[in-house]
Amino acid sequence: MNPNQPAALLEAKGLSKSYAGLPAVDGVSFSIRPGEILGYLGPNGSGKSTTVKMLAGLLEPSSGEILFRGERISHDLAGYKRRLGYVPEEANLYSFLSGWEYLDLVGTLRGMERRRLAEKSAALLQGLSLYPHRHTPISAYSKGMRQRIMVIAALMHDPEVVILDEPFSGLDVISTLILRKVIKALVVDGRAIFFCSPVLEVVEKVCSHLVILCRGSVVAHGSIDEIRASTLTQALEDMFLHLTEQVDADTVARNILAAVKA
Amino acid sequence: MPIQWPVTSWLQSKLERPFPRLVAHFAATIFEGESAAQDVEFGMGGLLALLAVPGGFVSLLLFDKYSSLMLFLRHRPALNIYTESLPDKYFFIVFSMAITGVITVLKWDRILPGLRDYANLAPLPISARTIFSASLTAIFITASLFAADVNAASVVLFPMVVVANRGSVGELAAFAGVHALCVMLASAFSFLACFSLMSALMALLPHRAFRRISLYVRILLIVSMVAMLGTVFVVPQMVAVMPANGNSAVALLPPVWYLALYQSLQGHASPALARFRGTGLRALFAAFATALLFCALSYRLYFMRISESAGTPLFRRRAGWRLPGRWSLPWTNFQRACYTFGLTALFRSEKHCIFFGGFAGMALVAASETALTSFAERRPGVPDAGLLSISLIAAYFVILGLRFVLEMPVELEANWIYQVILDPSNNETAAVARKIMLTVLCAGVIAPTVVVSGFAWGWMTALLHAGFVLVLSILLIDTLLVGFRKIPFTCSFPPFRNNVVVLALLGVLGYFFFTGSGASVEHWMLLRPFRFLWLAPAAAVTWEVLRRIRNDIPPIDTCLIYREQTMAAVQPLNLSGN
Repeated sequence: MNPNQPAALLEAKGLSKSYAGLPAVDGVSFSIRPGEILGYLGPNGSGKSTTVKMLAGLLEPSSGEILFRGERISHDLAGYKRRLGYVPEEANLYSFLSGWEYLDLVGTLRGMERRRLAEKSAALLQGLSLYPHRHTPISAYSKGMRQRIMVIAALMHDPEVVILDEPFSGLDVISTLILRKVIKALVVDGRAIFFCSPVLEVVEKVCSHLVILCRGSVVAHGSIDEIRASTLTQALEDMFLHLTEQVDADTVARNILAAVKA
Repeated sequence: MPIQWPVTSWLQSKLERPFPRLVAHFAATIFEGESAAQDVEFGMGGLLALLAVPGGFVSLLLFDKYSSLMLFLRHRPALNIYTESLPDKYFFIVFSMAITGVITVLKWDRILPGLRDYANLAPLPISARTIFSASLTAIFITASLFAADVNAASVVLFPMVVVANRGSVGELAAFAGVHALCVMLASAFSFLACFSLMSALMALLPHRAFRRISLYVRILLIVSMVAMLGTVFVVPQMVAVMPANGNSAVALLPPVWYLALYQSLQGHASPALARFRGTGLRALFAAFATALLFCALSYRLYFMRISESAGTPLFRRRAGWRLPGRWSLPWTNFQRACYTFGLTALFRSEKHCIFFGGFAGMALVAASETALTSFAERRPGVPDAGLLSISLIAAYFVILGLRFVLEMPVELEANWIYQVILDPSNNETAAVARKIMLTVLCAGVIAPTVVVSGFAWGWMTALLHAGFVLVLSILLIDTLLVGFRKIPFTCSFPPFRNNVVVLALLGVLGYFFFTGSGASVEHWMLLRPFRFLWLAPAAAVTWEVLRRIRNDIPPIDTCLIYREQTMAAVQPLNLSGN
């Protein structure tokens, strides 16, 4: 470890989780330092969501530990959650509330002072172009609007660690661009970001470091350049296919086309 | 390899065609729960079994009334089974109508195809007429299935209990046939009447107005069904003394039309009832025609235009429920957030409003009945226990209804936000639930009690009465919230509680204790108002007992939960400690 580098803010050590004896995540280890965006990649069913839920404190690991500033998060789960921002994969929100009411609920639960909560909600809603629709029920929101509400709810309490599980899902071009810049700005400001996404191009554009997961285990971990060098590939797509032992996409595509025409 | 019979393959080939598949799809849609793995899931089998139980249970209870042996032991003469069974026939008609009506109201949203069906079916090469016909067929098949299920046990058991030891097999079969026909027709009328009302509202109102009004109509219908159940205690007596020209208010009640048909088919209708023997059938045909007309119209106006309405601009909602000055109250952030969330969820969730409306309906029926009896027997001076019990009855049902709906989740999948933010060991849920219950109670029962009692008995008596009801209500709320550890509306509901019978019995016993004994004690206190001073130490002792019970709960059972597990019938002892 470089002595000039800051200590890891969030660290996973030998993290494992089994469901009914079947391992979903097996011995995963990584760390994120302040000012880093760690991309978390893997094919479907590789254990990404399970890892995210463990990091968010929603799921207890079968073995291994998660450390925040060197302390096990289980020692002070409430304290950890106060410093955490989380955008889940599915936009499950209370659809009978309006966007404003939802943020009021989340902010109040996080113990934000009333005036600060109102000001921050208004500013973030303005920033993500939701202010005119703040009193509209979430049930009437589009997928992108729901996603933006979740992003605001995750950032409004000024978290130190942000876990983003496919945050660009459903966002339009402008919102995606804005959110990407927000993520970069948060990192420059010293936050640590865990970024889980199946879209390779997005990961390449956003992340400084990568963890590639296959069948619950880490197959590559390091900066994008380090992984490129180790796999002797240039394109992230090739790198991913090489590491996760995926089938030849061209052959599969040809087979599918043959089946369609049959 | 299994043998493939020609009939089987013919049937399979027919069922695989689009229309039967579509009918099966719509029928399944009507039966399914709110969404996968959430909310109150009864399951098809469980629901049908549950609905069939009361009819059979009541039939068996009637054995005591009709048994020749019991009559002999009581030295009573043999009954005329056709006239003496009139109240019981009325009960079965009302019961089948109420249950069918309640289920129609609960499944209201799923009866006609909606946005999800449009999104999935409209792109397919199926004509709109086929979708409509399949939907209508599914509606009638499921309605018939429900009606048959609700009445199945009573159709077999009730005639057996009544005719046993007396009539021949032929008489038994005739009795059973008439019973089956009349209760099924009553069920069908109840379903068609609710269905026509829904279709008519859907056809005549703009969609947004329909969504808004629909909730109130559904609550009103539930209350009416509960009130109709309440008529079993009075209407049979009124029918017995109905004038021969049929000029009576009870003749306006639909169950009486089917009772008239029942008695007429058995040849034992009084002249007054005989006048209405055809009314039920005419009403049924009218309901059928209306349902068909408005169903077609609403399908054309709503379902066919879903794609056009998808682009309508977003609408605003009025600000959510807020207690004025809640930020200045000494509440924690958890309590502030969950209190607002709880009240908003309670009054915006249709399902919760409807279930709570059911309890409000019971309160209305029980309180009205008590009020009618007590007003007839009222004496000057201190109000008697009957009149005093009216507010207690209302409070009891409101508290019980709220306690019940607090357990029902709303959008369970969205509770991740609580799990991400909150510390499970910091449980203030009982305090939040108490505040929600007290807010509804004060607005819905205590404030009207003060106003009405003030005008009726003077303001001093009104304040004493309201104070007494409030103290008793707080004690009841605290009793019901011992061990409560769910954030209101955020925890999954177990599919079946094995202590449901005990809970129901406790509910009934609690009703008599809270309203009967409570009102008697209050009456005794009102005779000498200084006796109200006893209320403070009595309440303090009860609170202390409840506090000690709460303190005795081990910490592991006080943590917040988001998923309630049903206790397994057999559990391993895990002696190895692994």
